[in-house]
Amino acid sequence: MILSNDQPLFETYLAPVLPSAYGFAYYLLQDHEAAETLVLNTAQRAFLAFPLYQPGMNFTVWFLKTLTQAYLEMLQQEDLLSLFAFGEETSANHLPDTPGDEAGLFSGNESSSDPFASLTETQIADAFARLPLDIRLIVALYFMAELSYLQIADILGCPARKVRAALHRGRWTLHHLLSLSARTATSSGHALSV
Amino acid sequence: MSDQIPPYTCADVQQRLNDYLDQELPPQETCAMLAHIGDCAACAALSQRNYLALAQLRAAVQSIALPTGLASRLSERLDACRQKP
Repeated sequence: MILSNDQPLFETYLAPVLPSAYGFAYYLLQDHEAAETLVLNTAQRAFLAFPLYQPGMNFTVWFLKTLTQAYLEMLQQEDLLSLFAFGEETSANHLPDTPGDEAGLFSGNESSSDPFASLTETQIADAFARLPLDIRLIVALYFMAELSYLQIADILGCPARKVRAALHRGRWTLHHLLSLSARTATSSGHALSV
Repeated sequence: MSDQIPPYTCADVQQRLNDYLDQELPPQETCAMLAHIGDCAACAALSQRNYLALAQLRAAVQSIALPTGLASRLSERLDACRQKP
Protein backbone atom coordinates (compact mmCIF):
# COMPACT_ATOMS: atom_id res chain seq x y z
CA MET A 1 0.00 0.00 0.00
CA ILE A 2 1.31 3.45 -0.97
CA LEU A 3 1.64 5.87 1.96
CA SER A 4 1.26 9.63 1.62
CA ASN A 5 4.93 10.24 2.44
CA ASP A 6 6.12 7.67 -0.11
CA GLN A 7 5.77 10.05 -3.05
CA PRO A 8 8.34 12.67 -1.96
CA LEU A 9 10.78 9.88 -1.08
CA PHE A 10 10.18 8.11 -4.38
CA GLU A 11 10.68 11.35 -6.33
CA THR A 12 13.87 12.07 -4.40
CA TYR A 13 15.26 8.66 -5.38
CA LEU A 14 14.07 9.01 -8.97
CA ALA A 15 15.34 12.53 -9.71
CA PRO A 16 19.01 11.60 -10.27
CA VAL A 17 18.03 8.50 -12.29
CA LEU A 18 15.65 10.36 -14.60
CA PRO A 19 18.25 11.55 -17.17
CA SER A 20 19.67 8.02 -17.48
CA ALA A 21 16.22 6.47 -17.71
CA TYR A 22 15.03 8.95 -20.31
CA GLY A 23 18.16 8.60 -22.44
CA PHE A 24 17.93 4.81 -22.24
CA ALA A 25 14.26 4.93 -23.30
CA TYR A 26 15.02 7.36 -26.13
CA TYR A 27 17.74 5.15 -27.61
CA LEU A 28 15.44 2.14 -27.42
CA LEU A 29 12.53 3.90 -29.09
CA GLN A 30 14.19 6.67 -31.17
CA ASP A 31 11.28 8.98 -30.41
CA HIS A 32 11.00 11.63 -27.68
CA GLU A 33 7.25 11.29 -27.14
CA ALA A 34 7.41 7.51 -26.92
CA ALA A 35 10.40 7.71 -24.58
CA GLU A 36 8.55 10.05 -22.23
CA THR A 37 5.50 7.79 -22.22
CA LEU A 38 7.67 4.78 -21.37
CA VAL A 39 9.40 6.67 -18.55
CA LEU A 40 6.11 7.94 -17.08
CA ASN A 41 4.49 4.50 -17.30
CA THR A 42 7.55 2.95 -15.69
CA ALA A 43 7.57 5.56 -12.93
CA GLN A 44 3.93 4.82 -12.15
CA ARG A 45 4.59 1.10 -12.09
CA ALA A 46 7.68 1.48 -9.90
CA PHE A 47 5.79 3.84 -7.57
CA LEU A 48 3.05 1.26 -7.06
CA ALA A 49 5.73 -1.35 -6.32
CA PHE A 50 7.69 1.05 -4.10
CA PRO A 51 6.52 -0.62 -0.85
CA LEU A 52 8.56 -3.64 -2.01
CA TYR A 53 11.69 -1.55 -2.44
CA GLN A 54 14.12 -2.19 0.42
CA PRO A 55 16.57 0.45 1.64
CA GLY A 56 20.05 -0.57 0.55
CA MET A 57 18.90 -1.83 -2.85
CA ASN A 58 20.38 0.01 -5.81
CA PHE A 59 17.46 2.22 -6.90
CA THR A 60 18.97 2.88 -10.35
CA VAL A 61 19.22 -0.84 -11.10
CA TRP A 62 15.74 -1.46 -9.66
CA PHE A 63 14.15 1.31 -11.73
CA LEU A 64 15.96 0.46 -14.98
CA LYS A 65 14.99 -3.18 -14.54
CA THR A 66 11.35 -2.08 -14.28
CA LEU A 67 11.78 0.09 -17.39
CA THR A 68 13.37 -2.77 -19.34
CA GLN A 69 10.52 -5.11 -18.37
CA ALA A 70 7.96 -2.50 -19.46
CA TYR A 71 9.78 -2.09 -22.79
CA LEU A 72 9.97 -5.84 -23.43
CA GLU A 73 6.27 -6.22 -22.58
CA MET A 74 5.52 -3.45 -25.06
CA LEU A 75 7.44 -5.37 -27.76
CA GLN A 76 5.57 -8.51 -26.81
CA GLN A 77 2.23 -6.74 -27.23
CA GLU A 78 3.36 -5.54 -30.64
CA ASP A 79 4.51 -9.08 -31.50
CA LEU A 80 8.07 -7.86 -31.94
CA LEU A 81 9.67 -9.87 -29.18
CA SER A 82 10.71 -12.59 -31.63
CA LEU A 83 13.35 -10.13 -32.84
CA PHE A 84 14.89 -10.33 -29.42
CA ALA A 85 17.00 -13.36 -28.56
CA PHE A 86 18.32 -13.11 -25.06
CA GLY A 87 19.88 -16.44 -24.37
CA GLU A 88 23.48 -17.37 -23.72
CA GLU A 89 24.58 -16.45 -27.22
CA THR A 90 25.16 -12.90 -28.30
CA SER A 91 24.53 -11.56 -31.77
CA ALA A 92 27.77 -9.58 -31.44
CA ASN A 93 30.25 -12.08 -32.80
CA HIS A 94 30.32 -10.59 -36.29
CA LEU A 95 30.73 -7.02 -35.01
CA PRO A 96 34.04 -5.10 -34.86
CA ASP A 97 36.07 -5.14 -31.63
CA THR A 98 37.99 -1.90 -32.19
CA PRO A 99 36.85 1.70 -32.70
CA GLY A 100 36.26 2.98 -36.22
CA ASP A 101 38.30 5.69 -37.92
CA GLU A 102 35.89 6.69 -40.64
CA ALA A 103 35.81 10.27 -39.33
CA GLY A 104 39.60 10.52 -39.28
CA LEU A 105 39.57 10.47 -35.50
CA PHE A 106 43.03 9.01 -35.20
CA SER A 107 44.67 10.25 -38.37
CA GLY A 108 43.90 13.95 -38.09
CA ASN A 109 44.04 16.54 -35.38
CA GLU A 110 42.57 14.32 -32.72
CA SER A 111 43.30 16.40 -29.64
CA SER A 112 41.46 19.56 -30.64
CA SER A 113 38.33 18.27 -32.34
CA ASP A 114 35.43 16.07 -31.39
CA PRO A 115 34.31 14.26 -34.55
CA PHE A 116 30.86 13.60 -33.05
CA ALA A 117 30.16 17.13 -31.83
CA SER A 118 28.09 18.01 -34.88
CA LEU A 119 25.88 14.91 -34.73
CA THR A 120 22.23 15.41 -33.80
CA GLU A 121 20.24 13.34 -31.29
CA THR A 122 18.39 11.82 -34.23
CA GLN A 123 21.62 10.71 -35.91
CA ILE A 124 22.83 9.10 -32.70
CA ALA A 125 19.45 7.41 -32.17
CA ASP A 126 19.49 6.16 -35.78
CA ALA A 127 22.88 4.56 -35.15
CA PHE A 128 21.48 2.83 -32.04
CA ALA A 129 18.55 1.57 -34.10
CA ARG A 130 20.98 -0.25 -36.41
CA LEU A 131 22.34 -2.34 -33.54
CA PRO A 132 20.70 -5.73 -32.87
CA LEU A 133 18.14 -5.33 -30.08
CA ASP A 134 20.06 -7.26 -27.40
CA ILE A 135 23.22 -5.25 -28.13
CA ARG A 136 21.25 -1.99 -28.20
CA LEU A 137 19.89 -2.62 -24.70
CA ILE A 138 23.34 -3.38 -23.30
CA VAL A 139 25.13 -0.46 -24.97
CA ALA A 140 22.39 2.03 -24.04
CA LEU A 141 22.42 0.87 -20.40
CA TYR A 142 26.21 1.07 -20.28
CA PHE A 143 26.45 4.62 -21.57
CA MET A 144 23.35 6.12 -19.98
CA ALA A 145 23.64 4.61 -16.51
CA GLU A 146 27.38 3.85 -16.16
CA LEU A 147 26.67 0.41 -14.70
CA SER A 148 29.00 -2.55 -14.22
CA TYR A 149 28.73 -5.74 -16.29
CA LEU A 150 27.09 -7.47 -13.31
CA GLN A 151 24.51 -4.73 -12.81
CA ILE A 152 23.58 -4.76 -16.52
CA ALA A 153 23.36 -8.56 -16.38
CA ASP A 154 21.06 -8.26 -13.35
CA ILE A 155 18.76 -5.85 -15.21
CA LEU A 156 18.60 -8.01 -18.33
CA GLY A 157 18.58 -11.39 -16.61
CA CYS A 158 21.51 -12.72 -18.64
CA PRO A 159 25.07 -13.84 -17.82
CA ALA A 160 27.68 -11.11 -17.22
CA ARG A 161 29.94 -12.71 -19.83
CA LYS A 162 27.27 -12.06 -22.44
CA VAL A 163 27.10 -8.40 -21.38
CA ARG A 164 30.88 -8.18 -21.64
CA ALA A 165 31.05 -9.71 -25.12
CA ALA A 166 28.10 -7.74 -26.44
CA LEU A 167 29.30 -4.46 -24.97
CA HIS A 168 32.86 -4.71 -26.25
CA ARG A 169 31.75 -5.20 -29.82
CA GLY A 170 28.50 -3.23 -29.68
CA ARG A 171 30.05 0.02 -28.58
CA TRP A 172 32.73 -0.09 -31.28
CA THR A 173 30.03 -0.85 -33.84
CA LEU A 174 28.23 2.27 -32.59
CA HIS A 175 31.52 4.14 -32.94
CA HIS A 176 31.86 2.98 -36.57
CA LEU A 177 28.26 4.02 -37.32
CA LEU A 178 28.69 7.46 -35.74
CA SER A 179 32.02 7.93 -37.49
CA LEU A 180 30.31 7.21 -40.81
CA SER A 181 27.52 9.70 -39.99
CA ALA A 182 30.08 12.32 -38.99
CA ARG A 183 32.09 11.78 -42.16
CA THR A 184 28.92 12.06 -44.28
CA ALA A 185 27.97 15.28 -42.47
CA THR A 186 31.47 16.69 -43.00
CA SER A 187 31.48 15.76 -46.70
CA SER A 188 28.06 17.40 -47.17
CA GLY A 189 29.31 20.50 -45.39
CA HIS A 190 32.36 20.68 -47.62
CA ALA A 191 30.26 20.15 -50.72
CA LEU A 192 27.91 22.98 -49.69
CA SER A 193 30.76 25.36 -48.95
CA VAL A 194 32.49 24.82 -52.34
CA MET B 1 50.22 -19.69 -2.76
CA SER B 2 51.23 -16.48 -4.49
CA ASP B 3 48.56 -14.27 -6.09
CA GLN B 4 51.11 -12.89 -8.55
CA ILE B 5 50.18 -13.06 -12.20
CA PRO B 6 52.73 -13.24 -15.04
CA PRO B 7 53.68 -9.94 -16.73
CA TYR B 8 51.29 -8.84 -19.45
CA THR B 9 52.24 -9.32 -23.10
CA CYS B 10 50.98 -7.25 -26.04
CA ALA B 11 48.44 -10.00 -26.72
CA ASP B 12 47.18 -9.77 -23.12
CA VAL B 13 46.72 -6.03 -23.52
CA GLN B 14 44.74 -6.48 -26.73
CA GLN B 15 42.57 -9.12 -25.12
CA ARG B 16 41.89 -7.24 -21.87
CA LEU B 17 41.98 -3.58 -22.90
CA ASN B 18 38.20 -3.22 -23.01
CA ASP B 19 37.89 -4.63 -19.49
CA TYR B 20 40.58 -2.22 -18.33
CA LEU B 21 38.73 0.74 -19.88
CA ASP B 22 35.57 -0.40 -18.08
CA GLN B 23 37.45 -0.69 -14.77
CA GLU B 24 36.46 -4.35 -14.64
CA LEU B 25 39.98 -5.78 -14.30
CA PRO B 26 40.99 -7.15 -10.90
CA PRO B 27 43.63 -4.96 -9.16
CA GLN B 28 46.59 -7.24 -9.93
CA GLU B 29 45.72 -7.38 -13.61
CA THR B 30 45.29 -3.61 -13.65
CA CYS B 31 48.84 -3.33 -12.30
CA ALA B 32 50.10 -5.75 -14.96
CA MET B 33 48.27 -3.77 -17.65
CA LEU B 34 49.73 -0.45 -16.46
CA ALA B 35 53.23 -1.91 -16.19
CA HIS B 36 53.09 -3.17 -19.79
CA ILE B 37 51.61 0.06 -21.14
CA GLY B 38 54.39 1.97 -19.38
CA ASP B 39 57.03 -0.04 -21.23
CA CYS B 40 55.44 -0.57 -24.65
CA ALA B 41 54.84 2.43 -26.92
CA ALA B 42 52.56 0.51 -29.29
CA CYS B 43 50.26 -0.68 -26.49
CA ALA B 44 50.32 2.77 -24.89
CA ALA B 45 49.16 4.26 -28.21
CA LEU B 46 46.44 1.61 -28.57
CA SER B 47 45.24 2.26 -25.04
CA GLN B 48 45.21 6.02 -25.58
CA ARG B 49 43.35 5.65 -28.87
CA ASN B 50 40.63 3.45 -27.39
CA TYR B 51 40.32 5.63 -24.29
CA LEU B 52 39.81 8.70 -26.47
CA ALA B 53 37.29 6.91 -28.69
CA LEU B 54 35.31 5.74 -25.68
CA ALA B 55 35.30 9.21 -24.11
CA GLN B 56 34.02 10.76 -27.34
CA LEU B 57 31.38 8.08 -27.73
CA ARG B 58 30.25 8.57 -24.13
CA ALA B 59 30.00 12.35 -24.55
CA ALA B 60 27.96 11.99 -27.74
CA VAL B 61 25.54 9.42 -26.31
CA GLN B 62 25.09 11.27 -23.01
CA SER B 63 24.40 14.61 -24.71
CA ILE B 64 20.68 13.91 -24.84
CA ALA B 65 18.61 16.48 -22.94
CA LEU B 66 15.62 15.82 -20.68
CA PRO B 67 12.40 17.33 -22.06
CA THR B 68 11.33 20.52 -20.30
CA GLY B 69 8.70 19.88 -17.64
CA LEU B 70 9.18 16.12 -17.46
CA ALA B 71 9.69 16.20 -13.68
CA SER B 72 6.43 18.10 -13.11
CA ARG B 73 4.49 15.81 -15.45
CA LEU B 74 5.92 12.92 -13.48
CA SER B 75 4.73 14.42 -10.18
CA GLU B 76 1.25 14.93 -11.63
CA ARG B 77 1.14 11.32 -12.79
CA LEU B 78 2.16 10.05 -9.35
CA ASP B 79 -0.35 12.37 -7.64
CA ALA B 80 -3.14 10.95 -9.80
CA CYS B 81 -1.94 7.42 -9.19
CA ARG B 82 -1.89 7.92 -5.39
CA GLN B 83 -5.35 9.51 -5.34
CA LYS B 84 -6.98 6.63 -7.23
CA PRO B 85 -9.24 4.64 -4.88
